[in-house]
Amino acid sequence: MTEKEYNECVTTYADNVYRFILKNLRNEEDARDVVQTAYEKMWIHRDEVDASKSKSYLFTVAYRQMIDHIRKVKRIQLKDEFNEGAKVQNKPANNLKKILDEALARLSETQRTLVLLKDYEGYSYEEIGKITNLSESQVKVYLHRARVQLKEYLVKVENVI
Amino acid sequence: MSKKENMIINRHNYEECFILYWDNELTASQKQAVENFVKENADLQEEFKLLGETRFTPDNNIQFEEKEFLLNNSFINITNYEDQLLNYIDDEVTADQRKEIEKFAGQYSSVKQELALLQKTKLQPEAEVVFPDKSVLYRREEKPDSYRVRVISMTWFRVAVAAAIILIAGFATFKLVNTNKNGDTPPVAKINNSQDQPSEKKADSLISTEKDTKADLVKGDEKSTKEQTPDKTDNKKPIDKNEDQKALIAYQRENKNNLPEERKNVNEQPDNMKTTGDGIIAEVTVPLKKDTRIAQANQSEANDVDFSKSVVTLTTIPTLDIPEADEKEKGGIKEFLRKTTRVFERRTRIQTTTDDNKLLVGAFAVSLK
Repeated sequence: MTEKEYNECVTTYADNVYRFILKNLRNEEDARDVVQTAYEKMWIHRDEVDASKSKSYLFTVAYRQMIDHIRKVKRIQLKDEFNEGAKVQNKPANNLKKILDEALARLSETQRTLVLLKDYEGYSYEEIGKITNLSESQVKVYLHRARVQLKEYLVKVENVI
Repeated sequence: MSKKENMIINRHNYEECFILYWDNELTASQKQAVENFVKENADLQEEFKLLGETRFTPDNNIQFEEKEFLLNNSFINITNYEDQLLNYIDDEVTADQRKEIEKFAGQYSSVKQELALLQKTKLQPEAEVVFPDKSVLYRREEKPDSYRVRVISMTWFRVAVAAAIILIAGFATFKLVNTNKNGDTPPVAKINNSQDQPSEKKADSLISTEKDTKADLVKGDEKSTKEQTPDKTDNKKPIDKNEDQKALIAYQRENKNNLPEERKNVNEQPDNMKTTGDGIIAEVTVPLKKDTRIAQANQSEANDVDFSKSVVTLTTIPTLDIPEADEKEKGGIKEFLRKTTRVFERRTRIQTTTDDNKLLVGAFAVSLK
């Protein structure tokens, strides 16, 4: 990967990977740090990175960086999640996007990652498996479960409304 | 049932036996026993029939219309349709499978509703969320330090070498040109150091000086003629003093009045004498600086020149005998004079230096025509 290809990768994918990390972490500064670290690692190992696979490499590095970050701040993260859940119960959901965001927040980290990689980036089960270090069948099962959970949440909220 | 085989039907237990009969739970002999009992008791026949009518018979008109839904040999069925719907919204199915799922969902409203609900769970990327400052991510490769230093040093080195070469070449060219000028300078006149002689001998030496001057002039002519010839051995040959004396005697015989020789052939003149046109009648070299008496004598001789001739060229060239030791000290002055004489030479075409690289100052020419 040349300097030019690296900078093109920044231009093309920086927003995508930032969205992916931000949706998972729900903290802009943390997301920015993770993305920056991911790009730093990519720059250091640019000689080993194939330019055609730069996006997958970037998401893989960013995902692992995010997992490390989550592990470091796990307690705080859990506390936030509980608060988020309380908010959801008290606040009436008035549009689908908001409901979906709330439903997404209720998923596990792995499920949320799989859904985002699938819906945001359109990765296949196989590609998601490589990024998250899961088998294709695991991805399929986790993703289907996540989707059913999202559906049940939607039905439940709609019934409440 | 074994108990019931031994059971004897009577008016106390006939109801249970009638139900078992209609439920087809009795053996053939038991059924025969029940039928015989009903015949023997006519008042119980109606109750036996009523119990028989409470049985439901299957309605053959009712048929299961969605039998395909239950078939396991199809791509999508009752057992796997949810997975296929999820695959469908995850875009993990082929084009043909996609059509089949859509057809299946179109047939069953419950499946269609579920598919619509699942499609709602699909997230859309938020374009408004962008990385705030991409400039921190852009990178630029830096050359190794050693490589950079090497390039810079080579550049300076090249510049220094180029400058040195230009300076050396310029200096060498300058020296070469100056050397050639000095070497190519045609002799105009040579004055011996007889000026340093005592004053009482000056008058006698004046004639001899003039003779020497004439001799040198002839010698200069000869030399210039020799230089035009390709014979190199003549150039190296030292000037024979006897020949000079012979030439001087011949000159004195022809010019008894000590007047300068008339130049008949212009082409034979040195280049520096050609400005006079038809010919040079007289040429007098007077050392002004060191002995004014000599100069005055020469001047008086010059005044005696026959003006009947067409052109008279009077050249009064005082000479400065500059020692080589003083050249370094007077380098600036010499250079200035050299430049001045170059301009003079170009304008008048008269050489202002002697054979031995002596500079003549104040030369001028008068055309009387």
